[in-house]
Amino acid sequence: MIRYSLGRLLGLLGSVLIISLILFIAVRWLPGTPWNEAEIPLQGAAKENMMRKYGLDQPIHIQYAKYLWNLLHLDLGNSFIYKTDTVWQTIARGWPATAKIGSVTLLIAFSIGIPVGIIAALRQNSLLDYTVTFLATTGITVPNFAVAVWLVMFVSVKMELLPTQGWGTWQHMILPVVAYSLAPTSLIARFTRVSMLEAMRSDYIRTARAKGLAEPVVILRHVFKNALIPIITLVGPLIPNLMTGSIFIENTFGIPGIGRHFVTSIFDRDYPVIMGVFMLVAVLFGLTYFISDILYTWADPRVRLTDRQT
Amino acid sequence: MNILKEVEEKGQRRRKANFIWRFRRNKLAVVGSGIVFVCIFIAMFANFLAPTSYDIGNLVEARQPPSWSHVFGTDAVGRDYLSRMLYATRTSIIVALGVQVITLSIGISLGTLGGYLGGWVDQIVVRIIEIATGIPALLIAMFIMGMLGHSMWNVIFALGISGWVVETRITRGQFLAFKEREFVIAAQAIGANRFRVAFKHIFPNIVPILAVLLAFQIPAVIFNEAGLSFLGLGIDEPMPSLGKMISTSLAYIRTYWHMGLFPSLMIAIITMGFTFVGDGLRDALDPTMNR
Repeated sequence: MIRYSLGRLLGLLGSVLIISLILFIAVRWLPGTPWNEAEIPLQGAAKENMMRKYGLDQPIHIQYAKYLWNLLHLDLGNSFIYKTDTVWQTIARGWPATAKIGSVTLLIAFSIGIPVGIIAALRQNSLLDYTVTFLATTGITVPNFAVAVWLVMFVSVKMELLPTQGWGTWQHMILPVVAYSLAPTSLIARFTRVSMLEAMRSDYIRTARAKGLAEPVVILRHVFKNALIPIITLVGPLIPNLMTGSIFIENTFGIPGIGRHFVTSIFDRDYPVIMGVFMLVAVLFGLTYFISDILYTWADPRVRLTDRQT
Repeated sequence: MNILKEVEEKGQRRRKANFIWRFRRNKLAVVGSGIVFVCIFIAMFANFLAPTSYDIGNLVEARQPPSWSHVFGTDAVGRDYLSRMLYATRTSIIVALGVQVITLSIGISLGTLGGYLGGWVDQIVVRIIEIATGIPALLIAMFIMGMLGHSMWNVIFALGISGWVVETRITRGQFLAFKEREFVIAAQAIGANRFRVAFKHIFPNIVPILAVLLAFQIPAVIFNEAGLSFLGLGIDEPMPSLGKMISTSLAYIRTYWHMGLFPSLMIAIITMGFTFVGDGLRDALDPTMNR
């Protein structure tokens, strides 16, 4: 177990290293420079000075080595655009809002998705089941920015119940969370339903019923616990996804989250911020895959930890 | 020999009829196919269906609500909204199909290499998949768009280059599963070369699963294209895109409801249509899988 974990973590480190190298080269391939040269053209010497100040005059492999060295000290550098900010500060300013929306969304997705999925599975082929399946399919497919537009239109503009945009009070959170949680909730509900149905057909459930266990015990202890196994694999990637937020949702509702940094840093050619934000996402995703694999073996002891069959 | 062939053909026909019967029993799938058909029709004949071209504006008629002369109203510079939506649908479909060509080519070749050859080749493929999973595809696409600039072909390229992970993973997994089957070993035993075994014997068995995947990936790509355009990283004016129409409409959402409602409904209908077809295909191909 420990050997496996160490191996996986090493592999993760390797992947992150390769991602950082590809990113580092790609970032410098972006046309243009971090300075707004269209409006304020930089003359020869001035430009040289700027390049030197930000360490862009050195050969790229030295720049990369320096970046890695700083990364080892968890130093992501300073933003080129917000000059007084380190990249960490830029991230720290955006993340609270994003994480708030993400965690509430996650909570809703679970607390609605799982029970709804279970109920639909228990009443398979009933009208309720069909309704849930239909709604869930719709919820997964309809883009969240379309849902966001409808919500703003009907709830804020037409009925004037909630603010259209902005951030600060709890009222501001409702519409973004609703728009954002629709897809993950539907996904979890649908997946729970299918896994439950799968588990209910197995022999050990017949055994459990045959030995006279009460129905709730059979459903919760035997069916649901086994249905959890595939759910874990689904939920793993969902968490970093939701915690890094949706650019569309943040854009539509004017939320000062991390999502807009993905876009603005690319537009601004803010090299350190692009690198920092992307690296953070890569590490976050890698760690969640790792953790969900470990959880998987806990939920299903039959799975042995060998090289993952992707 | 002849009888054998006849029996096999009969079996194939029956399986086909069975498949069609199961697909048609699923009402949503039938509705979905209708939507898909209409979308493709619009994409092919947008220039005949649209009342005006997508780039003809009349400032006098700007921001009109729906009326008889402009069924869906007009946009901020007085262009007919219906025409723009028809052309935007065309954009969505072209991008979706174009991206599939790229992702399927990369996915099938990488997946076949890894899954069928195995060994160190597979190790490399697994590593590549792992690295590509590290960063969400949409972020990579955004990055590429920042690098290349905005146009429809760049969108296709960016989404294609960033979106092949699922295709690779599924092809590889299928090859791994089929490699050990009797008919494959039999083919190898009678001396078929590796290329022939891979593409003549194994690949046809994977096609149905890839078809299901395709039906699910198309709405995902349409979503992502709209997303890129929504963020201003996608298709440039005057070419219309549903995502861009939605994001532009946000500025007018208090006063001009039609600008946001129609394109967002349109994109919801398109993506739902393809997903229903995908669901129907999957259920019809694999009846044991529960609906």
